Amino acid sequence: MSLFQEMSEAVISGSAKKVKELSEQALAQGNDPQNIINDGLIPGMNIVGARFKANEIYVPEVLISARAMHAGLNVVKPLLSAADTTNKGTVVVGTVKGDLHDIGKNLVCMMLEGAGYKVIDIGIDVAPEQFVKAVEENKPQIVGLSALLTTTMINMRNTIDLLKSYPVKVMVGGAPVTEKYAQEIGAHAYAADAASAVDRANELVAS
Amino acid sequence: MGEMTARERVVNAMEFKPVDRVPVFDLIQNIPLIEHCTGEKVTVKNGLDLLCKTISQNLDATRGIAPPVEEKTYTDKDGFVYKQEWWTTWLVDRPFKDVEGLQEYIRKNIEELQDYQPGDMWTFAGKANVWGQGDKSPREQFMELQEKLGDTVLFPSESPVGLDTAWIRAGLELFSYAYADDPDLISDWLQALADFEVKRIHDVADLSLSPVTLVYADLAFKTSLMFSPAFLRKEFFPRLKQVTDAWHSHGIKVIYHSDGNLMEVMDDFVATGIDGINPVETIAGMDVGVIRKKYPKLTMMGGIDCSQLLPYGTEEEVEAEVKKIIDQGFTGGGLLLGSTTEIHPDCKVENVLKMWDTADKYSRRK
Repeated sequence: MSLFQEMSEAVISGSAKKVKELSEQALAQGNDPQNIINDGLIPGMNIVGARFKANEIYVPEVLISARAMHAGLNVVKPLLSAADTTNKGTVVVGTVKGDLHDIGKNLVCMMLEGAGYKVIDIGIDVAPEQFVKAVEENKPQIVGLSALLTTTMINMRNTIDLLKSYPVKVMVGGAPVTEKYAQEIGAHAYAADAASAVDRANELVAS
Repeated sequence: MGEMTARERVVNAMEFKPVDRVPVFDLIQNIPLIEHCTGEKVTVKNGLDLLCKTISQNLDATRGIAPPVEEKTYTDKDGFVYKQEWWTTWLVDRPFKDVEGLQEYIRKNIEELQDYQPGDMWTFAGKANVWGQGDKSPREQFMELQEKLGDTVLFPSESPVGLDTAWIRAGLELFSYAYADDPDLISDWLQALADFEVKRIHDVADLSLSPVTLVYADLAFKTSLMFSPAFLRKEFFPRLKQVTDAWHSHGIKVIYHSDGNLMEVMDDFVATGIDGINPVETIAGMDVGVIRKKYPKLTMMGGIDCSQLLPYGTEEEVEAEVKKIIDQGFTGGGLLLGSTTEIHPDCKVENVLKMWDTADKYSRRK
């Protein structure tokens, strides 16, 4: 098994300590930091995402794998210059105004990051104007809106209305949200779960 | 058949004995509905009375009645920060930020839980419902509410198994990390929480007050379980059985509550001896017809979608769904019809009224 394969396996099994050691070893062997991310860490998280989507693993396992991936990222990221850093795109993610739930939003952030996106997590209870501010500051390709409550999903529409004048695609998700509702409020994509959010993001940046 | 009392209707339905109509259960959190039913404007001062009046006029059973409160944020003795609103209390900050901090808190909490004294309130879950919000004893609070509710069955307590108490307190990320790093500590914590609850049950359970209770731990999303079946079989189901057995030892029936799709482990739930399941979140894939066929003696409580149907559907759609759920789930018993968790502020008043009216007329017809 190659070092990168071993690293991917350690991400999948959630061994943060081993991922950190292997990342340090890869650097010591002269591997490019970006290659360590692209060929060691991200492939591991891609498999985690696929297994999660297939209900083969569950939220805690995804979180533990994400922690392991971060242990590797923490080793190699400081060695990347801004110019070296490549990612698939930038995504601003937040839970909409009035809603304090964060599990779904956090999972989406981890899965997107694991798939190679730069993720700007702007937290929970985010007003439409705060999403606009984050878009102006970070120039993302995608904004992800999360809501767990029927009573707060209305703020998805308000946020989308404010974002219409910006060159950004909006993806929505959360327990009460449906494909039909996403279409009604003018979202560009609906993701039923965190793994699907990666698929939808890939489609949006490719479109 | 003559008109039954709410208690007779609820108990008979859960025992699959004859009833005059399907019992109706719900948690009402909708001010326009309360104002429509009572003809009065809701204020902080009269809110509890009007809520109870609405319940007593329309429901056979209810749970978790919360008096109106001024919105506030407060910190408990351990440093947990809560944001309190009328219908809910959010945990918004924790006194620890990493696994080590959580583990330190858990060790302290296990000691506190083991030092149970009769009369102790469940200090976390209690804050989120009526039992933790006053200075009076749980029994005194119950009696006061029951008087306002008249005939409607009030569940005596919402009884936590401990798993969601633990992960909500810890945060799911830190809970997962801590379990990966030291599973025995988390296991000890979950056992201490369950043991505490069992002691509390033996203090508060009283069949003469109420024949049913709600045991809970949210375990599932719309698309799947939150935790693996293997984890649940090791760390959850034995403790659910422990809590269920404790209620049963007082003759009180147990309805288990978790949102989401539980089908992957429904056999495990039934094996613990629970009498019913709530809220049967149909939009998450919980199929009333499938459950009735596979578990003919399991009571279902809920079934009418409050995520899309009650807020956005038409009265005709609500009527059709109520009839479908009664046809599939009500075999002369075995169903307490209601929303899939609560009649929240976005549910349309006319849809709720249609749900109740259809349940009454259609189930009597059967």
